[in-house]
Amino acid sequence: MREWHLKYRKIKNLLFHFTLFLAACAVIIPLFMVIQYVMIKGFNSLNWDFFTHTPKPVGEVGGGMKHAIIGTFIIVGIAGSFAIPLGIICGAYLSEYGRGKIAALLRLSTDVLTGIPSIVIGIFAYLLVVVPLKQFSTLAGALALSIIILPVVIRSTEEILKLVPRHIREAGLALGLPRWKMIFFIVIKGSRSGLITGVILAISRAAGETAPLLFTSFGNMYYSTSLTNPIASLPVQIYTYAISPFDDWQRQAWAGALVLIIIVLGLNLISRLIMNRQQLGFGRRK
Amino acid sequence: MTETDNTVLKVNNLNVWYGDFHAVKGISLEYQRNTISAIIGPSGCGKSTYLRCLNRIHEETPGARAEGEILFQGENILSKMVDPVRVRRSIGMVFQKPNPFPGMSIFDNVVVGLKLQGIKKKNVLMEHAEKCLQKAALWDEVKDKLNRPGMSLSGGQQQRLCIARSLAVSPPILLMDEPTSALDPIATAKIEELMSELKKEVTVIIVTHNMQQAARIADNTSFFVLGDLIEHGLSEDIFTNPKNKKTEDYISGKFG
Amino acid sequence: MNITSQQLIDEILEMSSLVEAILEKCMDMKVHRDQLEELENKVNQFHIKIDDDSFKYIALKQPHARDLRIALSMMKMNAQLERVADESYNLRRYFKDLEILPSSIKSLHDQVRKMIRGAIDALVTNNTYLATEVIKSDRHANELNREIMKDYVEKMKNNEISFDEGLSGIRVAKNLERIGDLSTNFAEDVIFIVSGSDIRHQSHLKDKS
Repeated sequence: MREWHLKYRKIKNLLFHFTLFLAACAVIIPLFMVIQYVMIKGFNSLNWDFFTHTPKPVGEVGGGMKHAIIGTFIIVGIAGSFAIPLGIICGAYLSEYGRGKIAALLRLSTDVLTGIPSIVIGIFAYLLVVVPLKQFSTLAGALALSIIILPVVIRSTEEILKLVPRHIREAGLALGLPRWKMIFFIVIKGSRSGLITGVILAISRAAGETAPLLFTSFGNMYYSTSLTNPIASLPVQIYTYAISPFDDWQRQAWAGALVLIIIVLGLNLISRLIMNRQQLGFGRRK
Repeated sequence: MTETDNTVLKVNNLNVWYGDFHAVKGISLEYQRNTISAIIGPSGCGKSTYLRCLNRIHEETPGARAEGEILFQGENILSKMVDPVRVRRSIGMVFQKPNPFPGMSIFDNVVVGLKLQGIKKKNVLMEHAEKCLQKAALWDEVKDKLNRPGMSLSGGQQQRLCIARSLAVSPPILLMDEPTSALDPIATAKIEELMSELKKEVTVIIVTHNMQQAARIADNTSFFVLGDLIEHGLSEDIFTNPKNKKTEDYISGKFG
Repeated sequence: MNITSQQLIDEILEMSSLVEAILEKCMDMKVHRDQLEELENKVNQFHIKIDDDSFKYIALKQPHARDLRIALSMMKMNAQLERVADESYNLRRYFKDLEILPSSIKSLHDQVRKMIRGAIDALVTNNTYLATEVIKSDRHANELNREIMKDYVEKMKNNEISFDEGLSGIRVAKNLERIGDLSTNFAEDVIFIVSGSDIRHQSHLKDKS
């Protein structure tokens, strides 16, 4: 009788294990399928021209997405240079002074912001920048992306800084440091890796956003770096080419998609590497 | 304070509350220059709370309120008019869990107090670092790897690093909150050894739940129970012939 | 309080040099009784101090193993040395009444002086062999004492010497013999410190007389 119960329990364990395994596959397999598909479709179109040339007129074969790649860097760069410092400061505020009404309000705002659909953020930037300037512009796109980057950086900064144990802060104060110096030079400086990771993740998310850019930076078939004019970006360019009827453009869209995936995945992997290296530093000796 | 007066710190009727909980009840004690004074007593008796008032770190605990006087260098450092940052530069603290600052090398850890007070010259910092690491009996073990991360040292070494770091800003008083309770016996012995050298330059006030440690290293011992000061005096008297029955019972292991 | 077991030993050695001095001078009539008294007072002060220091050392430093054996033994040796000083001081009282000093008493005096010196040397050098030699030589001291007693009793019976002279001589020998016993105890404690063995009351080493 007892043996039957034991077998029954073992079978249940096995079934559960198998179910978990299936669930894991359900996640991993689509990811690999997507990457594989994009690779197959896009790899052949990747050539030196792709990275160094702007689009050729319709009908002509060749050309590249240099303008879009650079455009993405510019928009994300401008967005980041506003959102990242602001985000880190707000995140530090929440972790160091996190009690009270203002902090609660800030947390609420951050949470709401992360939930706003990116296209709505795009509309907001449209109203704020495109309408007054009467044209699409890099700045508008940068504003939209910075609103997307900001809450992610705030959240991750707060979480990373909260990981610093209380007695480290007390040790800093006990040395006779004023609170701001302790926060900046010990807590923030000591969490560099974690903060950088959060920033990289935020940037990689923003780099892939398409909807908000559709009516802010709008896109451009020509190379432009002007702040007050439309500018190309990878996601928008992919979209434009993908819905076009031209084979050559569609081929290039796949290549663009591949480049975008590589950028996003690459940033993700780098951030993991940085995190792991710091973990090793933290947990090495007892 | 006059020259003949060897008192370096005087606590008058210190009371501390956490919300409604009366954690330290009217304690008055005096500390002499270049001595090691230990505070012993069962857990939860207010020893750490008391110690943390001496450098105003108790203010970091929400809901903590302290009343009374702590006289140091002619002023009451507990008063709101006194800047706690200034107090803490003269009264340093070493914590129970060794806490080298993350992301900083051994050298950076030692000199961080000096750097952030404005001393930037590399050779001055190097000199200070060597002196303090020697005083903390750590120099020989780390002199070849000053650029390695502070967290790469063993527990006992980390704690000695924290001691060196506290010493770097030259405080006349050093508070130690159970500094060896997280360490193994050999690391503990090393730190106890360096304390008897330390007291030649600083006055040490140490909280310990290990009364044998107090017996070994402290010149004076105070015994607290539930926020009250039960007895205090020379260690050699407290441990051979205590006057209060509670002290006698605690030391003989009958409670706590 | 930063006392070590070595400091306790140093204090005992200081005390023992005073005790050796009293033992030497107690049979030298050129040395006045006041000088002996001064030495004895110093010894008594050491007696109190070493007990106090050993006690505090045990309470504060929680010594173990050899250090603990040292601390405990210092308290015993301290008492033995104090008694040697006492016996030496009292010996003077009878010695001054002796008209003739027999060579046997002189030999016994030399013997016990050697014994105490040997025991102290054994402590300084941690030498159990030396200590054992001291313990063995107690037999010789006891024999000498018996001879002296027999001799005096003979002479008193034959009226060769006065009763007072005989009694004084016997008392002097008795004190010296006791000093020999105390030296033996001292040596036993040295063995305890070095080896941890308690060899007291073992008859193969000494004579039970």
